[in-house]
Amino acid sequence: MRTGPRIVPIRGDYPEFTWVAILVGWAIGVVLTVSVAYASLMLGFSIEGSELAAILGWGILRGVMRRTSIVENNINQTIASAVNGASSGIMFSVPALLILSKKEEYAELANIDQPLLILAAMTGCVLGLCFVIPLRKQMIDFDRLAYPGGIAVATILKSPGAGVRKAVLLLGGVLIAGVCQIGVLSFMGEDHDWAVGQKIGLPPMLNIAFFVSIMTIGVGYLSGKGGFWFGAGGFFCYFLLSPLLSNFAGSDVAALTSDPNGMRVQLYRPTGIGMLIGAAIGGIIAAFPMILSAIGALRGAGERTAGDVAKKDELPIGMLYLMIGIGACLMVAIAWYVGAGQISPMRAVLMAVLGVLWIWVAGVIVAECIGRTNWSPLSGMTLIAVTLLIFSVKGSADTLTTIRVSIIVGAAVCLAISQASDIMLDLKSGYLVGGIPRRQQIAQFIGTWLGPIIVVWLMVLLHETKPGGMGSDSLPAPQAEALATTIESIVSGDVPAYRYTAGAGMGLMLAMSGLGGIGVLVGLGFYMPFSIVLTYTLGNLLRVVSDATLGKRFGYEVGVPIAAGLIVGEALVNVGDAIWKIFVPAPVAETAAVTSSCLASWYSFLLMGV
Amino acid sequence: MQITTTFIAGQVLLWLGFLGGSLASVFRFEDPAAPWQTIPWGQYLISAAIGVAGIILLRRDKATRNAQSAASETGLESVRRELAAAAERVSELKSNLEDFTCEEVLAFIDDKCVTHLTEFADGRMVLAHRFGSSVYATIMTEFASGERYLNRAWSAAADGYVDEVEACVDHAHTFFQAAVQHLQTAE
Repeated sequence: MRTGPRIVPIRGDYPEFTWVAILVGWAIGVVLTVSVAYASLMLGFSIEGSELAAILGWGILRGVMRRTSIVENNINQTIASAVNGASSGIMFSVPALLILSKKEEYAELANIDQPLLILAAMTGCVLGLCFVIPLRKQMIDFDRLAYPGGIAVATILKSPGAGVRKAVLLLGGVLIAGVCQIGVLSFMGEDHDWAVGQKIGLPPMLNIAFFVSIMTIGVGYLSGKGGFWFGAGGFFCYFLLSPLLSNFAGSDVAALTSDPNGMRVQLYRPTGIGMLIGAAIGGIIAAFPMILSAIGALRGAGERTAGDVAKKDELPIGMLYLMIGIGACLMVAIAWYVGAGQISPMRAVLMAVLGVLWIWVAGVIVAECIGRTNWSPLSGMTLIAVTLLIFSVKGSADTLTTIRVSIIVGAAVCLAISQASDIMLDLKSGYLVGGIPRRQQIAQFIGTWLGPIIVVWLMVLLHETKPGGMGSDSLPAPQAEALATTIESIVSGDVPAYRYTAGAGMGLMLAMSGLGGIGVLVGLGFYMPFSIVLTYTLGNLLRVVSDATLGKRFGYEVGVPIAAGLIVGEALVNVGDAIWKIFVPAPVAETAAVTSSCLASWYSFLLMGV
Repeated sequence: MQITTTFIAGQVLLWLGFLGGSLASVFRFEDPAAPWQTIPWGQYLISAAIGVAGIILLRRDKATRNAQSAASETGLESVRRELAAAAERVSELKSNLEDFTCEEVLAFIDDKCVTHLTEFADGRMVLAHRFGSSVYATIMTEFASGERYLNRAWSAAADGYVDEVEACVDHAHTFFQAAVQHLQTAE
């Protein structure tokens, strides 16, 4: 090849899976994990680490270390986000033990066996990865799911070579989203819903409110028309079911229709969880021939035309099966050991089998939801996991043991699901930059073990050092608090299993209709707040209009880099905001009003400047 | 897509069934004395039966449509043409690689390959309808590998690793040729 005007030719191996990528990935992963895990405890939400890791890796590998390899940075972000995968998985579940332990009857739950918890978490991570890796072919190669987050990461990774124009579009998107999000945080605070419906006098039951987030529009744009059924699920709830219920249901349900949030929490969300389960099972049945073909293709890689290359592209399927077997045995041992003699070996086996099966089903659900919409119903899937586990032990052990064993095995399941969605997103970005899947899969395993150690250590440290510990004002842990409340309800038998079952039937029906993937999307529309669904639908519409009027090439060349920038910009501002809230003490009421007014003035000034 | 009476009837029944079933699922608050009685199961099952009738009609319509799509040469011709064009472009890239700079490789992939790859991917389902899931999987496995190696060639060219560009273009060429060959064999 000839020497060009801009790019200097380099001879030799293309750096990809290097020690530098591993070490930088671990380092960025540790920083991200500590920050995100702390933010999860303080604020109750988690942050997907892939985009941040890609940007940080870009700065460190290219800027500081002068290394020039897109695929090396891809391995770096894969490792870093694998480490960070433990943040939400553990912080949304295990602190529930510490919160419950504040009650006298549950005081013993505070004695957490840390090494065992870490082992359970690592086992969950490995199981989640082993179950979902064979589905890469089906979801990415055959179904070509969008994975908007993966596209955003790939756009960042490719930006050095994509030319000045695309880099400007990406940075433009980042800037627009950053300015908008600062404005949203300044003017709207934590409530990002803009209730347009109420302002123009529409009935509250229609729930016309937009989630003011330009990132959500970007995600909708990247999903394109494939995401429309997600919107349809939301419209179905608030434009069809709520009006029908307000006219024909009993007075109690009819009265609640004017409180859309109440409707969602009490009725639509549990039905949506059921739909997701039913649709996933139906989807597995419907896609079974294709899954078998994908696994067959993995097995027969060596017999292909480019056999040597193809064989080295994927991890051997036999090894994954072996690791699933070892992981399942470990789960049995952990359940039996935590059961402290109260749980029989057969119950432990039942529990582990349920947990492992649920990892597979929930892994498919979450990987598909992330692939089609970029949202993951992780908390709903964890709730189902803990419910299943509690019911599998209930009656054979006392309440304390039941809760302890269910949360520890449940945390493993939660981590498994979290890792499953993370690796699929990373594999999509890997596909787009030309990463070798096998190397990325090994990179994910290399990163995944580190997260549980850091997060468990951080959780115990914070609980012991912060005044009041977990669940206090200094460490609110909102998600774990909600899980603790739910566990108490489950233990007392208060679970809407009938609604899950009814929803599952409907989800199964849609999945079997042959209209690809609509069951999961409609179920997710029931599950998510309608404000997010509405804003997301705007993004879908934009893509459809842009493709129809400006052509698909415009979408690929211009729309995708801007949309990716929107995702990155808002994520960066949110991280900055979380850090600000954690390290800068909240102002008292009067000062808060002044600060808010100052921020608003600064924002107006900034906007005029832009 | 041609809209048939069976398709409309199937859609109407499916969504009526779904509406009825969903309505039954959220019609009442829990009765603490008998939680499972919260759902009016009779209404639910009737709705589900209507939905299943819709599914049967939709599946029959889909089977007819797939058979027509499989028999029709138009969709298949378009997919065949795009795959052949992609393979040809990669072949052209491979044979001209010695005279190209990295910048030209990037421009060639972006301008001459991406559209064919996207068009093939958009129309790929005709392969499943015509030849079944096993052949579809075989062709898509080769195609996806080819596309991934072409993406890798792009990344390597952007970073200036010329040996890797040559190796990846070579692999991509092999995989696309294999996809074309599998399609020919299937036909």
